[in-house]
Amino acid sequence: MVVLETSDSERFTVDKDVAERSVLIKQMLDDLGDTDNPIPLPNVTSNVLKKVLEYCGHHRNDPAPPADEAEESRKRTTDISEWDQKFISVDQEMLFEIILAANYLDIKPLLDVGCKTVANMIKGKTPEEIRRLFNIQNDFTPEEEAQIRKENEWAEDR
Amino acid sequence: MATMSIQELPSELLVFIFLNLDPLSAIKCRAVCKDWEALGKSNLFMRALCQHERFLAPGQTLSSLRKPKRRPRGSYLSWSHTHSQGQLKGLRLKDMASYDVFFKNKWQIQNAWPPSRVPAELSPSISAPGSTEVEATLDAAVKDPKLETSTSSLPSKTTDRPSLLKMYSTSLRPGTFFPGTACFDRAEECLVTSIKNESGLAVIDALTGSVLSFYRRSAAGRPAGAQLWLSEGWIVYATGHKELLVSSTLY
Repeated sequence: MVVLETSDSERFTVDKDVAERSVLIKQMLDDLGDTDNPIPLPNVTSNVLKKVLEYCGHHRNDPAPPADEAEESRKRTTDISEWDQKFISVDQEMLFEIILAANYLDIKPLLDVGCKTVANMIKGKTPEEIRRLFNIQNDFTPEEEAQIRKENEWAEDR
Repeated sequence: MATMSIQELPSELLVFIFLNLDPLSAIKCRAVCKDWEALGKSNLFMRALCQHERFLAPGQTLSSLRKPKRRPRGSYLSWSHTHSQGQLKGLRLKDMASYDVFFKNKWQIQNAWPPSRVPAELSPSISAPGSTEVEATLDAAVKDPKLETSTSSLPSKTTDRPSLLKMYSTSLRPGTFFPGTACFDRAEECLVTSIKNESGLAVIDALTGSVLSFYRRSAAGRPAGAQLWLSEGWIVYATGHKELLVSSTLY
């Protein structure tokens, strides 16, 4: 068993193989050897870690992802498993927290799921719809906006 | 704790999200806000996109592309080789000014001349010149009387039968294959034939026969017809055609 301690000082006791879905934690454990001391995770809050561990628990028996970076296929969006889709159906704030945590903890498959989910939200939307979706301020002047539209013309669907 | 939003994500994560979109959607995201515009145009993102689309090999950079490629000995290219420096890849330095420009060029080539639509009998990939498959294709092509008319008008340098390197097509229908115009570029030892109507400018790598850039004709017109310029190591071919045949007498 491994003890993890979040930024808000909450402790989670989990199976080693669950914790080791995180490459960061795995490396820490490899460096530390067997230890009873809690592993500090100063960048993760308890409510996010709870969610991340739920993911790790469900995927504890998954084969290790290919280490080769070039192996990264060209697949894009949509191919998220049903369980993952349900898991990632959270509010935006939690979604981005999960992405940050997955990046920090180095859990590549979870990072993929998070980023694909955001990409799916963006897909097919106009800039204005994207701004509304993520509550982004339009900081272009009308002239700048016209300029960008002109620059992007070639990328419009023909 | 501050409310977490997409704008709090570090650039590299935003890049990762954009890479999960189709490239054009990702590029259109530049119109959302200034931060996204800057990121969308940045080398960080555009280089990743070039690699994701296999326009660049993993780890390959534009500066490595600018280095000249070795030419076969005895080629007429020695002159242009020394004078064109890195431009031998066919893209002018201007076309490689940034990953942004490079991507746009490559993307437009790919969509103007998708190699995947090359019919199998026309030797889809770059074949070693002289291979039987290529010669057979060419034999068949030469039997076409319309093609013969055109080949006879080629400059005399092409007495050696050229090998078919590549066939690009935007809308190929079997049986409608006929040459419109053919030009032979002595210095690059490359034959360019194009057929049917689609206007634009193709820049071709004489060595591999790949179309390196394709510029569509603007709505305003020009260039019309077919012209060929040779400028220091690349061929700029203005075509009024939809299909483009690239052959070569190299080697």
